[in-house]
Amino acid sequence: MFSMPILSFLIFLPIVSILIILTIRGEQELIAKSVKYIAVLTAAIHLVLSLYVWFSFSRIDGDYQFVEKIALISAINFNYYLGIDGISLLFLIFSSLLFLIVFLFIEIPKNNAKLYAISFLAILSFSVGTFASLDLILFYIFYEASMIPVFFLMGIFGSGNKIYATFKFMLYTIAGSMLMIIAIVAMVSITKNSSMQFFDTFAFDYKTQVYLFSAIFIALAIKSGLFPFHSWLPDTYETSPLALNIILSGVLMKYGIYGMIRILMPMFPLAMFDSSIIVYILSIITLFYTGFIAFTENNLKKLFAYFSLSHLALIVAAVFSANTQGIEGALFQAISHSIYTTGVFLTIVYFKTRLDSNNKDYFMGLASNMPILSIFIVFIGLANIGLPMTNGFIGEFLSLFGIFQNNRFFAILFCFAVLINAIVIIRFNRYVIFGNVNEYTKSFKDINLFEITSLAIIALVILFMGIYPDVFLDVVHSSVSNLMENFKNGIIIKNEI
Amino acid sequence: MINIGSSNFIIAIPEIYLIIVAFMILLVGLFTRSADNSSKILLFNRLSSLNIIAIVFGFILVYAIGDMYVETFHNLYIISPIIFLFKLVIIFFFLIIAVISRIYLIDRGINQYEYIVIMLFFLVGNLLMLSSNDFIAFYVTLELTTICTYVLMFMAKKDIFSIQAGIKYFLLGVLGTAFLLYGISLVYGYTGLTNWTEIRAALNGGAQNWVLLMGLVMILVGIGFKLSLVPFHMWTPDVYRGVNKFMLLMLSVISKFSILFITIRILWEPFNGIISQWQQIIILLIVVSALIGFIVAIYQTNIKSFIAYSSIANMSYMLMAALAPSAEAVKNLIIFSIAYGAALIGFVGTLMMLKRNNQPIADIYDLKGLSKNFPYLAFMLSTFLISMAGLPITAGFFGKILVLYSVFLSKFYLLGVLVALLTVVMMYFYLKVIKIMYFDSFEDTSISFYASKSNFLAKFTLGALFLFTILFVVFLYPMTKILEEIVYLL
Repeated sequence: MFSMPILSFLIFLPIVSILIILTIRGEQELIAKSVKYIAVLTAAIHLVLSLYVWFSFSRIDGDYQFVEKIALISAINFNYYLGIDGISLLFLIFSSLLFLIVFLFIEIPKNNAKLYAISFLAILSFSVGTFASLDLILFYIFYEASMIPVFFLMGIFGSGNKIYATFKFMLYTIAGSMLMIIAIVAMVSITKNSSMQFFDTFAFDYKTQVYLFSAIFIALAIKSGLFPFHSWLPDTYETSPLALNIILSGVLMKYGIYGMIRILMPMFPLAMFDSSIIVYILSIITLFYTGFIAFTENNLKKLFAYFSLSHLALIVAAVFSANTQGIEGALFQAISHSIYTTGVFLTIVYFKTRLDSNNKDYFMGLASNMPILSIFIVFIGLANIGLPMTNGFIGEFLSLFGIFQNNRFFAILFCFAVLINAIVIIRFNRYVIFGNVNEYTKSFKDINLFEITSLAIIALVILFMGIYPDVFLDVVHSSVSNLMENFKNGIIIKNEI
Repeated sequence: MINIGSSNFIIAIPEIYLIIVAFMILLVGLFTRSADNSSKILLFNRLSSLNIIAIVFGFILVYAIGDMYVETFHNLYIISPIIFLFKLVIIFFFLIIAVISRIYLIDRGINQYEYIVIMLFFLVGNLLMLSSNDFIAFYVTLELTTICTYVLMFMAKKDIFSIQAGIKYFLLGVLGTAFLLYGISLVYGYTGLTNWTEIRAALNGGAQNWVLLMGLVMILVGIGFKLSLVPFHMWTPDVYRGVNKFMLLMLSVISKFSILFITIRILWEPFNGIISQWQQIIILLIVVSALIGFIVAIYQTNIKSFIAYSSIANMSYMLMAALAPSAEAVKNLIIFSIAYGAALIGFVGTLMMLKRNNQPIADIYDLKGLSKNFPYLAFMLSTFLISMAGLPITAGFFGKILVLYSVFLSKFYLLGVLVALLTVVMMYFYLKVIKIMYFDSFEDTSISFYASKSNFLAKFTLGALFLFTILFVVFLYPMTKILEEIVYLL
């Protein structure tokens, strides 16, 4: 259909910008300024190109589109093999959007501005690669390479106990991904093929499936912070810079969800089918556990770290419900979560420009001095708890609907668990917005036009997704039905055995 | 008239040529007047340039001889596709080390032209060893290489640590050789043969005789000493810490790789019939070495002793490819060794160029603040470290997964999983070095870094290694294609 390698464009555009940034010389201020221009320009072009992909993507065709293929190792059929279906496209366009928001609205630190921008641009490039690769080894390369810039960002621009948190994060993720690459290499050694499309229809025997599934599941569960693999996340969120928080929750944690849908479901259907109860239990534990911790947490970043965890757990559960509604709900909830978490962290950025603290006790009674910000906080909070007309409602509803079809008992439990989130957010709002004005908040000024713009964009996207979700669900329909077909075929093969 | 076995001794021409070059350099040095220090340095400089050119021609000769199966000198010397590849790797890395360490050696006060001669003999020894097809030839050439290393260590006369290391290396090397020789004699006692082709034919049906097995065990112990596999590894950190960075590379890359390659040949060729016997021993050695190497490495702060443990660990990783004879394993091992060697040479070579307060960098904490002074060098070092750690997208990642792939192909799942998981432990160290370079606060203005400026060729080589390491994906396709065409087993 298209001869232009647009996906490679999307991957290599940030790399080209990195090379341009490397050549900049001059004063620190000047560097920071020009680096910001380049980064914003890159992200904007990136978003425009992604939108082009979005609009020229065929909704009817469930197959992979914009396919590119260059051979790398022919003995194991390892190719530079790119292509997207609806599921990848959804993640891809939202990553692109988030990076633009991050570059545009969050200030680049004056010293080491180059390294900051280079790291983020590298993550942008690798995340596109992760979502667009159709080869297992290539997927792993992008997936794992994204962690190296995060290491630098956390270690250099972090705050507090950053070295500890950085190493915890790195070793956790590397241990997980080592399990994953072992599993991938084992898969390749069994079949002498590394193409995802090949594995979509290849049936491993049951025992092999269980081993491979467990290894990859642990890797992805670490990434999406499922109990008991979650303990890296609060530390990471607490110490890392806020821009990285947005990217972590909006893009990198979504690798876990994407991997579950893209790898676990079609390739190990039997193991996936049998393990759904275990995953439900883990998700329930995560939801209750993180919800209760969020009750007592005073640190704003940690509070929303736990909050993210509970949302991710629901998404994972929805993926494991393994039916069309569940998968679509999970996908929709995943992108909604990216958007409203971005909103939350942007508000924290604006808190911090007024008072450099993470403690929520310092930010009380904002309603009197900062009415506009308060409106946005309430609105984003409502999206967080899934009020109708916001995107959170659609995602949560579909997810719970999917789980309900699969297992009623757990669906009811999940409904209760989701309630905890609502309580946490409402308590937070009561405290921060309608609490007593203290000596710090007395002198706060309301957000300026620039800051309003950023939050307004988020709010509009939330509203749009909430009112007209079909724009986003439409893209994934045919891909999800293909996925379900593969999954069901995998289950049928078991019955024949 | 001397009968040299057959007329096709032409296949040994690279080694013959290099020996002639070595003697020529010796003669030139002998008849050049060099009374004072500066003229000695001048001579050393010129001769090492000559040496580099000679090695380039040696590389071309090895390449020109090609990848065929030919034996000569009464079946003492053989070349085959695998040996061809092994030789290319060794001579290529030797060339790179010679290029990047030319100025470094002068800087460390080494200016005797004999050093270059011994270096060439060392290279010839390694090449001959890889080609040997007989236990006697193997033993003699192995001794040629080790004696050269003793001499090279002792020649750094001003450096008492190097001499101390030389003595340690000598004593333990002799012990290892004694085991090896005893093993060879036992094998000879059982079979009455020393030639590998004949031993292979004799043992083809498999044998359970304890004399033969004792011989095998003794040979493996001797090799264990040379490869510094646990529990024969104790000398490695001590020796590595004593020697200079040039010898460090010679020991940890050239010497280690060539002994590993010849180990693979010994296991696959003469002892091909008793695979099930040696497999158990090798698996044991791999597991213990990986445990000790990967875990002890993270406690090191001295760069050289870290490289010692890292090489123990990586040798055990590479030895996994030797477990089952297959063309796949050789190909993947070659890719691993190219990737690992490039990263290690790049790392140590970059450190060679650096000085901190006019002192060579010995400890990882000496690298504190490097990212502020030399951001590009710090980035290069990080890339080499990440490649050694085996994280994507660097060369090391592909080496690691390809070796793991061939291990899984030969169905050693548990071993592969264990060793691969152990590599995670060592990531901590690599990340710690990057942390020291980038994250640690650096206010001390009294510390100044200095990078040697005059050496264009060395810088160019290091830059090429860096690009090779980070853009390995680009070379993957041609490299695997070429390897696929070359490698096939007997």
